[in-house]
Amino acid sequence: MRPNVLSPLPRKGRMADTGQQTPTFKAPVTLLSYIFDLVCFLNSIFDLGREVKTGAGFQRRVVCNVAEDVISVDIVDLDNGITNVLVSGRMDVQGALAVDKKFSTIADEKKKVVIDLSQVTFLASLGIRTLIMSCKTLASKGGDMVLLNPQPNVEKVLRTSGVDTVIQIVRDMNAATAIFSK
Amino acid sequence: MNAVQKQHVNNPNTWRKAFIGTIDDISAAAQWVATIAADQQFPEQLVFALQVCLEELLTNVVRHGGATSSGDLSEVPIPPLNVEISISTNAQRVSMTVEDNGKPFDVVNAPVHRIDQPLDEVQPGGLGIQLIRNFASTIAYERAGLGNRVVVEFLL
Repeated sequence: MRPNVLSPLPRKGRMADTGQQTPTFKAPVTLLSYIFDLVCFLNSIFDLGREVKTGAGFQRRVVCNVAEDVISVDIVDLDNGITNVLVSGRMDVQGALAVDKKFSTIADEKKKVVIDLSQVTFLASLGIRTLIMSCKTLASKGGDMVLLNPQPNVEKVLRTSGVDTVIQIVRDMNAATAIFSK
Repeated sequence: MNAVQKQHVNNPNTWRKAFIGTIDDISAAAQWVATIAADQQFPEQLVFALQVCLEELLTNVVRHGGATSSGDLSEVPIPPLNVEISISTNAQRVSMTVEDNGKPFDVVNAPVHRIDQPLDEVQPGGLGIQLIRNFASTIAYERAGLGNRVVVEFLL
């Protein structure tokens, strides 16, 4: 699981390569550490995410690790109007509750949404609920959602519960794009 | 002997542990079962099936088991729910028993929900029972033990 925040500032004045002590400026370093910790705290509370410059083909990318060690959501707005949402981790009770608000926001703000499930290792009924409710919101305003490349066990959950009858499951982004083009 | 509680009294391949009916303990129970599964080198699909059934059974307990439960998972059920989970294995099967002291809920005879209507008519809920019945080889319920006792079995 990727870290929730940027790597923390070094708190000790030891140089990594030489083992020599660097000149110590304890007060400023401590102050910066406190500021950094405050930013991390606010990020965790308000789920601010991070805007990341990306390569060609991407307009905007926001990484939101909503519940460290459980699940993370990586949102990428593509040039063709499709929003790719890469979910990584477990959509169990804890994971589903953690991403539910984020999914509601995505459904409110976006129109063509691909949920990339390739990195989801577990899906429970509460996670299914999150997917269904988001898809209903999208559909109510003329949008749509597709599920991309779930792992075999997760796909079995989707098909067993009948999710595949209301949200299409595709293997690659070309197939997803084709569905949105209809 | 690893950190997992293991009983040798009646069956050397039986593990039992008590939990509280909260979201945090659902995750703790899942982790406990995963540790046993890894220790016993259960097949990947069996581990997944165990986790699905455990997750759905415990979610039902937390959402609906409390006397004043509103179904809101962020609330701690009142009165606090006790849950005991035991896992036992033999050459043919793995058995998982979940006992709780919540309100009676017969998971075997409860109505099954499956999504088979248009999207705008879909009301998610009750999907967990459908998942349990599909991922377990057998399922049995009785009003016993702490109150409710569900036994799910998985063939090896």
